Amino acid sequence: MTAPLAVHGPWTVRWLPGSDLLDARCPCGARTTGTDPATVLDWLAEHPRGGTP
Amino acid sequence: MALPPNEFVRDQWYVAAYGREVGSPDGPSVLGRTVCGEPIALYRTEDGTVAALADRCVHRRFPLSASSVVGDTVVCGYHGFTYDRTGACVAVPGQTRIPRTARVAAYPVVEQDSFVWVWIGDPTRADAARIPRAPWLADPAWTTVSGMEPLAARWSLLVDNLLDLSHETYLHGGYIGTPEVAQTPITTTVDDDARVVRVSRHMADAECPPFYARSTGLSGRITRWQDIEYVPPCLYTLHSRVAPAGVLPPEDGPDDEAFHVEVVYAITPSTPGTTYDFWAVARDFALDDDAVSAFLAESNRTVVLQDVVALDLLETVVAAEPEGTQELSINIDTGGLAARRMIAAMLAGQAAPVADRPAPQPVP
Repeated sequence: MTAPLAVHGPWTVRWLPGSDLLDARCPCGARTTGTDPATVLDWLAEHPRGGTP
Repeated sequence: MALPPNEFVRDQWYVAAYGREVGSPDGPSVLGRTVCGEPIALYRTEDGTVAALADRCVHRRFPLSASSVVGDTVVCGYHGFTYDRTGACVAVPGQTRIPRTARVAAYPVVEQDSFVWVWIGDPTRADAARIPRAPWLADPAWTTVSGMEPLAARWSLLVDNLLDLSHETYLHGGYIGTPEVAQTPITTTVDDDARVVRVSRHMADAECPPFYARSTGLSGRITRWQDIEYVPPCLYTLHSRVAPAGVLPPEDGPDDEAFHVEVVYAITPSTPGTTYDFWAVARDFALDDDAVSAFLAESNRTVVLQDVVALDLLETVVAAEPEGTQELSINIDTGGLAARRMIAAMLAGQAAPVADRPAPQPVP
């Protein structure tokens, strides 16, 4: 089973048009990009609560 | 990995029926539905409210859904044990003493937005304010067609299906699928506090599929927006906006040049391998046009039945897989994966395994 997400507040994963890139943004402002949605969601899950970019 | 088939999220409201199905002159006086593995008998009392009782007489287990409504009570069709809406037995045949344990569980039940919602779990935690809303379905400013199709598939497969609409292109071509659906990037937004997953796909210049061409009269290229809101585990809404290509909502004022359709699905687990797929299509145009209603009802039912065939087939594949079989995910799966994780968190947060939880108690 994949890890439940533990981040708080709305977060967004945007598939950038014209590319295969996923742009993930945490409510704290931290960002990451990737091409595998599971990896991007793992990053959001592991991103520390109340963290900073 | 798909969710396990035998896990239900409890302490939740689920749709057990449409209101029109309960106490209908054309249907059974008591309607039987199994929600999250619990057989439930639904009926209307004399004041029109819906009651929900465990579908099993305490005497010899006869289903109350095969019994009769008399006044505010259900009279068991086998030996006449009679229950009121709280589940208390108020009469037994041939004697005046009613055994103290003669009682069936009653479920919290609310009729709202054309649905009959039942609470599965600890009844002391039932809060009607937490029922997700689908106001279009009972709003006279909208015209709605609806139905329900049973699935021989686990409920998580329907969640996967609805969160990734790229399948429209391949499974529903000729109805709602066009090439642009699968080709257009999505944006996924997850609000853990509000417990909602949103997936948006905005097609700026798309082919108009027959579902919308025939119902709206649009011809040529269209702007087509799909904005999904999924409130796990039960309620899914697709806010669909179609308009001539290039026509966007105004900065302020009504979006009169567009056609709006609210496609609502209530995803109700029945047993570990079966699901009720409640569907509804509400529109804000051609409100009194019966031909449009008939077309949308038939088209959407066909689309749902295409999903039923696919998901029933998929269930046989998943059920036969060795444990640990992997699957592959790509960008289009982001919303579905996010929904799975939110559901996993809900399952992990459940207080105790089902077997250790108290049985439903009668509602005062």
